[in-house]
Amino acid sequence: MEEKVVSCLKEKTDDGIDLLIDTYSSLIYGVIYSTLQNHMSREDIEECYYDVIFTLWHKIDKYDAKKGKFKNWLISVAKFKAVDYLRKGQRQSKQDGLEDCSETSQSAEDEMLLREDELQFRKVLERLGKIDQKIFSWRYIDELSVEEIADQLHMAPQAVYTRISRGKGKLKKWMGGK
Amino acid sequence: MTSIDHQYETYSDTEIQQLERLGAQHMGEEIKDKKHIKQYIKKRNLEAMRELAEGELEADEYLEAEFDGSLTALNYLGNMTSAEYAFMMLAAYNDVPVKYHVYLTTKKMIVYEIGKLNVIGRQYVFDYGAIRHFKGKSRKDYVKLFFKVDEDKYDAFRTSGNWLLYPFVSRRIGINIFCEEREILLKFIQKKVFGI
Repeated sequence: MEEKVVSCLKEKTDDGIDLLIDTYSSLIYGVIYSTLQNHMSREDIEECYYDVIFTLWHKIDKYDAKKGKFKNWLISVAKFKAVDYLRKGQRQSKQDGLEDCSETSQSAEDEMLLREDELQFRKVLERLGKIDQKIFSWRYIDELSVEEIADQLHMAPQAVYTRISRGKGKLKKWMGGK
Repeated sequence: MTSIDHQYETYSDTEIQQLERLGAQHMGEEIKDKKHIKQYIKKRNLEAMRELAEGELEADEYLEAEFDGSLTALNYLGNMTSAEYAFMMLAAYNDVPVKYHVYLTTKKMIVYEIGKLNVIGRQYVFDYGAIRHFKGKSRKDYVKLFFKVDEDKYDAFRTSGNWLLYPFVSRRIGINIFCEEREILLKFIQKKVFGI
């Protein structure tokens, strides 16, 4: 089924959209809902859902079957898009907070929590070697592609993948994950 | 661990099932409305097209008008004496569009061939000065334009070495305009092409 969905999407046909929705709408909505449920309105969640469907359809050529299952790529796209919406929403509430004081305490609290998370993440990152620190910050903060990072560090992309994978394992352990 | 795991984060079947359950539990009926999603995609594609067109503008240039147009029969199959041959040979092109979306700027014409859901096929960008053999005919419900283009920015016109097909595809554009402003658009283009 995965292959059929991918090939229909690549052909940019109506059928591709139908098949994508029939097969994966619950999963896509579930990923978005799990990220946005306590932060955004139902309308925003729906808007994000439409945006994810558009992105999957529009950027299907970026999907590389050699790098993993379509479902995994789809979840990543939905997750990143939901996080984008979350950030946008937070920026918006910051702006609204300038006009509405009651909003300020809520967004400041959220901001503080976010900052704490970021600080904790940076602290843990420091425990990695210098090169791995660079790789993680370029990949996940500056959002460079693996190929761009490989270019910068004069490494093979495969070596970068390996370092990311090993680093993820270490980070999970240090942050108390399984 | 294989190289597959390095690129896309992997999720277990249990995690995926949980997410699917969560989605199914909370998504409303309207979210499953495929028509609505397709309209959304069309709108987003149109926005992307406009951005693309704006990217073609020079510093002292701006968009003056835009319109949708359909392909004229003349463009590909008009001459019935050889239409059957032309039709058979056109099967060789798998990207013959459904319609055009056109932007008129102060200096040039930007023509996008678009398929379903407003997907861009070929694009032609050319100055009004590059238009030859321009003909514009007013009909009761539509305006018909056809012309030849000397040179377009992306050299995107279909070509054919076959003498039967050549007259139908060689640097020709034929557009039917159905919108209300069709007569105004025709006058505008005529003015630009003939330098009136």
